[in-house]
Amino acid sequence: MNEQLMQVNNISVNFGGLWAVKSIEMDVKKNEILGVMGPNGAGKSTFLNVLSGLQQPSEGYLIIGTQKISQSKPWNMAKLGLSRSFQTVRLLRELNVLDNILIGGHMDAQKQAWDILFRTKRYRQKEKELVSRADNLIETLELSEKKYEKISRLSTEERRRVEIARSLMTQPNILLLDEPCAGLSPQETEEISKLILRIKEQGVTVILVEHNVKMIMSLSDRIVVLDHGQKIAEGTPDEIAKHEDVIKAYLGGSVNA
Amino acid sequence: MTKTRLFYTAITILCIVCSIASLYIQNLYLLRVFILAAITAILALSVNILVGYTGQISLGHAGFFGIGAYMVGILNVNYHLSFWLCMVIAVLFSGLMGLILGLPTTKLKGHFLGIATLGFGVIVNGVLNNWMQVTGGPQGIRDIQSPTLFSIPLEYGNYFLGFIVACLSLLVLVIYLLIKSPVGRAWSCLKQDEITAYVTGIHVYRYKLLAFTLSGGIAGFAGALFAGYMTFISPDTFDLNQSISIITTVILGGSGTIAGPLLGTALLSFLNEWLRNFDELRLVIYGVILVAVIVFIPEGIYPFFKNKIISLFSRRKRVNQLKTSIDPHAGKDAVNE
Ligand SMILES: Nc1ncnc2c1ncn2[C@@H]1O[C@H](COP(=O)(O)OP(=O)(O)O)[C@@H](O)[C@H]1O
Ligand SMILES: [Mg+2]
Repeated sequence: MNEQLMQVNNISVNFGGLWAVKSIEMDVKKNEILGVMGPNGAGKSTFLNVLSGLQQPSEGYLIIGTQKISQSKPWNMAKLGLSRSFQTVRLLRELNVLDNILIGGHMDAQKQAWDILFRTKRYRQKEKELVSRADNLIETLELSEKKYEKISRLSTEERRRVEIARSLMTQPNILLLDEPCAGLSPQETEEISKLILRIKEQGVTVILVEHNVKMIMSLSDRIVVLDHGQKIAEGTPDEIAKHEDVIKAYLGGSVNA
Repeated sequence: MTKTRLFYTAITILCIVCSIASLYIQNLYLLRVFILAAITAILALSVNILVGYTGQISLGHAGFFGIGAYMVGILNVNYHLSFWLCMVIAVLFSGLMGLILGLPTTKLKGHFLGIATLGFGVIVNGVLNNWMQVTGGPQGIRDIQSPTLFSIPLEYGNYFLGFIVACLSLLVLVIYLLIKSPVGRAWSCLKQDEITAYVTGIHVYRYKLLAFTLSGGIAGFAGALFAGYMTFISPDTFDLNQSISIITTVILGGSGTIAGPLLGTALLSFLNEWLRNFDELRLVIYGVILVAVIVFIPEGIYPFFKNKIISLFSRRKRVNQLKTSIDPHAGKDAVNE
């Protein structure tokens, strides 16, 4: 239960003088939901960008398994088992739900020229396997009716679920969710919360960035609070709720409830 | 699955019919038009890999076309290598040039990529024109050997057309297989959103380079065929006009589809020949038609008509459903829809 999956060491990101993320340290353990909260502009998305390889840290490094990673190509982080969703959903609008989810199967696909040109048996088997894996995800995420629907015709909440399905398709060890409930109604938020718990039950570690304090408090096993790029608190939801600096960051000054 | 099988069967039958039909064309002028159209179609398919499937741009494709043709010309005339060996070298070499052009362009996007590829085309044309000892300069290269395939002399137009139709069909099949494969999925992903490609573990640069290499190699293949058919090549075939006309063909027909570039080639070849009746006005009419199509049907002719037909059918379906839902005994499905 307490096996460590990833260690974040002194990660900092500087945007032309502004420290969007400053000296963040944390451990990510197996099979937990780790909440990351903080007011707008606290550096949460930037931090996730570092974890998913889209942003190179100015300082610091990550340890995943036995590997030490300080500067990484963006496509390598997915190979190391990190997958993510975005604050504003990123999907291929022209494609349908199934095709979008299949994109997540890229790393496992059979890609040798020989297999593709001669449609070898193992190639066809692999393709079939990927489609059935996508089908399973479509079923668990209750998207069956929209399977062949184009993304541009889905609601925001459905798009969020498709994006999560695509992330899960990569079979990640750690799933990074950037405000998965932004722009959703309380009822839809409830649905996504249940989904996150189910994902955890499947044995996937979740790093949940959220604005909605109530939701993150109820879901997370542990919470890290960021403010102005720095970690100001870490602990269980109960500890965080009582933490003075957190109360100050949320009530004093910033407009977030 | 049945759809794939149907597609295979249709393509196979079509290409056999075309290859056989090509043996019976008596009109030499028509034969020449068809052969050149088939070469243009191969070029269009090659540009389509970059423009249509990977979202890159190439304004210098005549460069690859020229490299392919000149490799065959130089190696065959000066070094007396057999046509087929020359062709293999030409394809590999222009593929390599594609890879090299692709290297810096993996970091370039949009206009910058356009300019880089444009520059490539201009440089190749400059070399063909000015490196006299090797390329023969503006006079070009004469007396390239016509290929012979299993003792069938391809210098006869009918045989050459049959051969080139077979090549074209094979190429269509290969591209189709690629597009339906994980490679095609990765291309379409990085075309639409590179960041999505990153976070799903797609090695974006590698896939862009693959597209450049394939595209360059296929254009070089077209060049080799051109050299083998014409037996005479000169730099003015491989200039900026040629590059622009290839990409126009693709965009006009509908980039990102297989039928689009083929349709574009057929229409433009026909148009070109038909406009010969108009002498000086030819280029004006040509230009007006191109602009009109691009302004009014920006997605290309093939996707336009395909969508028209699909929406026609689905409208008809909806009307039927309306009718049935008025009927008190209508099926449940119709009402639910
Ligand atoms: N690409 C960028 N260039 C410059 N500044 C940035 C960039 N991305 C984010 N920032 C700044 O970094 C800070 C943290 O942003 P972000 O990580 O998006 O916060 P959060 O997700 O917690 O709302 C903000 O002040 C933001 O303006
Ligand atoms: Mg954010």
